[in-house]
Amino acid sequence: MSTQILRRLLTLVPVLAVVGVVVFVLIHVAPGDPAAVMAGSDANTERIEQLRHQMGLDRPLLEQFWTWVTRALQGDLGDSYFLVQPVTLSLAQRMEPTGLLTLYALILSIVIGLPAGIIAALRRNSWVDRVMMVTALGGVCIPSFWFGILMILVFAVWLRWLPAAGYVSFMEDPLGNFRYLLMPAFSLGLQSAALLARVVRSSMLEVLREDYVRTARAKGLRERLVVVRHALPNTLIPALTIIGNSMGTLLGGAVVTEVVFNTPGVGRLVVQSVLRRDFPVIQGAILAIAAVYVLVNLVVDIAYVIADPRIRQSSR
Amino acid sequence: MSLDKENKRVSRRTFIRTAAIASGGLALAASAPATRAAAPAAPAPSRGGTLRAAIIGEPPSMDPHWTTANVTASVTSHMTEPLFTIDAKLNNIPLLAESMEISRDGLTRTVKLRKGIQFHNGKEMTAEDVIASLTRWAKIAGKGKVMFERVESLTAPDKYTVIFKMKVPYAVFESTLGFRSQSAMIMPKEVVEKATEKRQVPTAELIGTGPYKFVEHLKDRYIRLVRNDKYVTVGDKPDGAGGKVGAWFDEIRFMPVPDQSVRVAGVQSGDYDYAEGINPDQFVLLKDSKTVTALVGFPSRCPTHYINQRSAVTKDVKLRQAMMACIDPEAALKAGWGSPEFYRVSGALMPKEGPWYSEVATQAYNQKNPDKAKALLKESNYKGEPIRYMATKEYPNMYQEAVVLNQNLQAIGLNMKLEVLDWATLVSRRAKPEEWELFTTWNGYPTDPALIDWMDPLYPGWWVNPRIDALRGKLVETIEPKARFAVFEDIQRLFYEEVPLLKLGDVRDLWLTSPKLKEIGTYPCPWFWQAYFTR
Repeated sequence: MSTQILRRLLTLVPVLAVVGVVVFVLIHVAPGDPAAVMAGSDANTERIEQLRHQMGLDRPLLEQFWTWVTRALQGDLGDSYFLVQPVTLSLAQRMEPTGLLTLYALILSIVIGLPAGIIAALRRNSWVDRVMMVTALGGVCIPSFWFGILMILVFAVWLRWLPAAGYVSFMEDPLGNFRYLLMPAFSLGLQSAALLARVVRSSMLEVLREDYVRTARAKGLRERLVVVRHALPNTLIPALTIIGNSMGTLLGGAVVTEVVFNTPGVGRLVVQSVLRRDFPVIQGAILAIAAVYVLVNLVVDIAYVIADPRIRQSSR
Repeated sequence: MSLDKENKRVSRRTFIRTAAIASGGLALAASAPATRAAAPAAPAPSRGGTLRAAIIGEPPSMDPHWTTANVTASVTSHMTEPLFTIDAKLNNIPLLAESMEISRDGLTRTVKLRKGIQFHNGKEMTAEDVIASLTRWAKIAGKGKVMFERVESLTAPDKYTVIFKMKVPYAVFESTLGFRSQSAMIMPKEVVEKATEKRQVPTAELIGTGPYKFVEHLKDRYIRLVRNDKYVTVGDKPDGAGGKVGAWFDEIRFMPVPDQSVRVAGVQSGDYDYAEGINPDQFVLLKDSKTVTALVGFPSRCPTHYINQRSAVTKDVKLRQAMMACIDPEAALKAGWGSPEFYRVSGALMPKEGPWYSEVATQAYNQKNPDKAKALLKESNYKGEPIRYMATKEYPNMYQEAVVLNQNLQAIGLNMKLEVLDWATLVSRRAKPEEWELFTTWNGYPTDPALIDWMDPLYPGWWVNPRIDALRGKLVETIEPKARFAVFEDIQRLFYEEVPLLKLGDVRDLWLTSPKLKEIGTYPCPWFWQAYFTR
């Protein structure tokens, strides 16, 4: 097991190397000049050239790449042009909002999606099942940004129950933090909840037809016990896959949600950095996101092993 | 300013009167910077509260010398101050300067500084800080460079006096030193000398003399300022950006909110008290709202579509004249700005409200004459080469204007290639003369026409030739107001003869505020030191 984890961790090295090179090439091949953005729209060409020189943007591309790689290998992702602080610090400051947002969205999607899927399976073809599955279909189809804007209109502008946008740190004010993240988490988690509900329903339906469920029922177990003890654990594997994939989707979706709710997370940082061509931040953030993806996948794989004895057996 | 008399000392009062003529400030009738859609009588100001201002994004730099970005000027002008500022009629008035004396030949300007002005770190502001700040600013800011090319020496005979010895008389002296984009802000000598022109002043070291001082900058969340209780104000009542400063708020938080819909929703929900950069198409939805106030500014800027004079294609003056002859500015303005409340069809290069307004040569504007354009095109050397027109959807007004102009230009047989780019790409490509023929932007109206962007020969478009260069020089070096005005009219004539760019008209901006927020300043960039909440 530990050898496998180590081996998986080692795959991070080629992944990050490829991502690093591709991102560097892409952002430098794409047009756009951070010096021109920084100088402002009224600046003349002389000022832009002066800034390009001071920022080292007039040096050969290979030299810029080499400087970046050698520093990155020492854990230094460089300094942001616009935030005037190390990229690692910029990322660290934005991990809290993005991490919490993803966590809340994940919890919401499990809390809503799992029971909804189970209930729909147990009440198959009833009106409860139909309402839930139509809602789930809607949830999968509705873009999260649109749902977010709708929620802002209802809960912030009309009812004034929740703040429209912004953020306070969990350390400063845990309740305030929850109030700021509630709508973004809902808007982000809705799609995953809907997907999860649909997968759990179909997987549950399959499991309920298995022989061991019939045996359990035949030996006189109460239906609740049959579902919770025998059927549910066996529906968890596909659910885990969905939850694992959702982590990735949620982190990616956080980009849009963070823009809609003005949440100062990694997603918004990436969007803003692309718009203003803050090369070091774009490079650093994409590397960090790639690393998180790899690690999340690893955690999901470990969860498989814990949840399913068959996988545990075969991995020995 | 009249210089034919003996050396004279100009008091604050005379300064205002004379500077108004010399600088030719936009003596706007409106004393309030913005007109309200529904303007209730404002009650007396009271102290307290935190202003939450949703700004269009994180400033590209917090160093006021570093960038021309408006958002930087808007935030930093609460903390740092220049020697001069503008009054309600947009005339130059002293701010950190107390008075100015001009020698008989107009070449020596002795600026007396106000005494007892403290920086936020407790140090008194003196002449050495002024010299260090202006020296750094002149190495960075385009307008500073232009001015200091004409400065022979800058010295301080004592702690409170600075003497500028000019090589030539310089008519836009106060306008340049009070200009609110990449401003000549005064900071402590130690701070600017440590930063030099090669490095930005770190935000934590952003120390000025302004009514608010810097506390904290959480990137992408807020920039927090608190009232400077040691601020020494001048005058007994507010006067434009100058006069008595109220500094009514205990705290100001500038919150970067790049998405316009979030800014609007945030003011509607009460999360923000102020939002800027609102598209005029929102006006019909918001003007009758009870939860927000929609403010419409005065015509403070003009949409401009620059023509590249270093391009082999568009360096041809006949081609440029053909462009001017065929376009329909009104249709373009309507497409970009929607309601006529936000635009005005005007070919004058400075707005009607100010003393620089002139209609000379404007018959060349708004001709809408495709036949004449085609005739001019025949006289040109144009052979159907592609004309690359760079536009951006990041500023919807500019994009919609460009779509209309592009159609106009296509209709006379020009091979137009409209290229829709993001703003970062556009600003980087426009610096390269080989990559474009036309691009869209806008220019703010400064108090003096010498400070308009297209008067800078290094601004993309590169309107450079002996005739305009001579007129540029004459405009800044002529002191007598009537003679200056005549020079400016010559420039306007030459503008319509050589067509360095397509100027569409005058436009107004839209802001949203909470109904309890009063007296915000919006020109030349938004400011809040006179603003307050009603209870």
